Amino acid sequence: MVSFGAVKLAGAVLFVAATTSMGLTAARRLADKARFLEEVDSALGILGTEIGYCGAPLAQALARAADSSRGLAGTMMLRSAAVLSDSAGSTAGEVFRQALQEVKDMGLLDDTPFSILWAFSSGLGASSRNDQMRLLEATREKLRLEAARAREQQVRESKLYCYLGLLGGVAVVLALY
Amino acid sequence: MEPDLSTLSDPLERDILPLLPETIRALILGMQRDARRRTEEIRLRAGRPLAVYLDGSEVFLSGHRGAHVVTAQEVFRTLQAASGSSVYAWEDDIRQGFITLRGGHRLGLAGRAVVVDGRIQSIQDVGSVAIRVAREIPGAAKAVLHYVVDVHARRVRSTLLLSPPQCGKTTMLRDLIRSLSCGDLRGTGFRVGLVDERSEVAAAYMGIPQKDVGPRTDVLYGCPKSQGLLLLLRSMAPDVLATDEVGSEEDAKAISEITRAGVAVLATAHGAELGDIAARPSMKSILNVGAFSRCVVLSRRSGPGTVEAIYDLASGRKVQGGDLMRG
Repeated sequence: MVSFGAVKLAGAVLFVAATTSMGLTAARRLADKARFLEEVDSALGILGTEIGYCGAPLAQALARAADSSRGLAGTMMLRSAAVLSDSAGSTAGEVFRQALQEVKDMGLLDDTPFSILWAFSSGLGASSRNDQMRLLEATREKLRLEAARAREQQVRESKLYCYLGLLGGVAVVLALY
Repeated sequence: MEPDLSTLSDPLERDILPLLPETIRALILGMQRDARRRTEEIRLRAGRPLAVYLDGSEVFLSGHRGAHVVTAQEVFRTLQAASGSSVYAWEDDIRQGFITLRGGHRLGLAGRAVVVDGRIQSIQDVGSVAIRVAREIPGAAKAVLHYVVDVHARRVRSTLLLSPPQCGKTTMLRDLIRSLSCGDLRGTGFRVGLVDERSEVAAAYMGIPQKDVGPRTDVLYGCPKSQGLLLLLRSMAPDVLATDEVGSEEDAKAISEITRAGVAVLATAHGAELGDIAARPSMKSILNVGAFSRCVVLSRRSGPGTVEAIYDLASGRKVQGGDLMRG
């Protein structure tokens, strides 16, 4: 028969594992946020090449940018390209904003980069090639700053979250013991 | 419930309605089907009533709340949808004032012209769009085909189609090209080279003609007419070269050179009657060198494509005229 002490010990281990996992998840989210912004920056660079040098229609340019991009940014571009190709009545801005909102709902976009990309989506595909290139460059510039900020925050806070998860769990267990 | 627009056979319903904002689409779907199918043009002017052009006049469309006043956002959305949200990819076309849509329809636009070094660089702040519905009329050129082709010599006579705008010149040119290419008069067709500078005749979209221009037709589009005609002459060994809306000095030189090379030319020009083009210096020089043997004058007196007269330019006599003929 399992003793009460063993159950308590198992519960304590599970609790510490759970809080540690929460800490790790929070730390990973910080890394994901920074990585997402870097991926978007890189994808916008490819999009700029497709628009500026190839003059490809946006759905095609987004699909090609998606092909050469990694992670969630690539998925976001691919979905935007698919929706844009399928629905003649939607504008690129609407399609891109919908994809952005989904990423924000996943907790991967803070308010500032979200508003940068939201503003970008309003002008997407709606002006001359030169204007599009300027828009892309300005957006990338801002995103790079945000990505650097997110990276700094990750370096600064990820260990904190890891330790906080582990030590917080241990502290609660000790207090309850 | 709104019908699945992609399954509809009328080009306006199938190709154009999906590009329009919902409110405007509903108003057009609210028109009687017969009127909708006679609609030649839809005009959206920001801040002014929605208009359609049918039966030779422009009428404003009204909903339950009176005339629908088009918003700037509706104009913007239409342009975005028409360009596939890729205004930049259509820059060259927009500079000329239009976009060719899938199905060969044309979206003309007006707004603020950005002029650099005296040339229009782009059109921004678009306030008006006019969508002209392109409808093919197979057989439109049937009435003139015998005057254009010398059946016994198996040769095409260089022919100029002349009319004011919206009288069916392009439709007739397209059907002439198709007929010659298919060989409607005699078994084997002619090899036709079409220079479609504004993509109005073959309405090529992503390289594929959206209109039936026949199986023996090579289309060069987006290229200045004079350069394109000479390019096709050298590269594609055509029996006939065709182009729309000639009028410049360069066009005249190219056409003279082509006809001297023994290749027939089919072309259109703006003008209500033969005297109108004879008064234009560039056209006068084309007529003087005898580049064209026939001139077909069109009007919309009995509807677009009404043949008013056919002239033999060598003798200056009418070979057909007086009685109205519909193409």
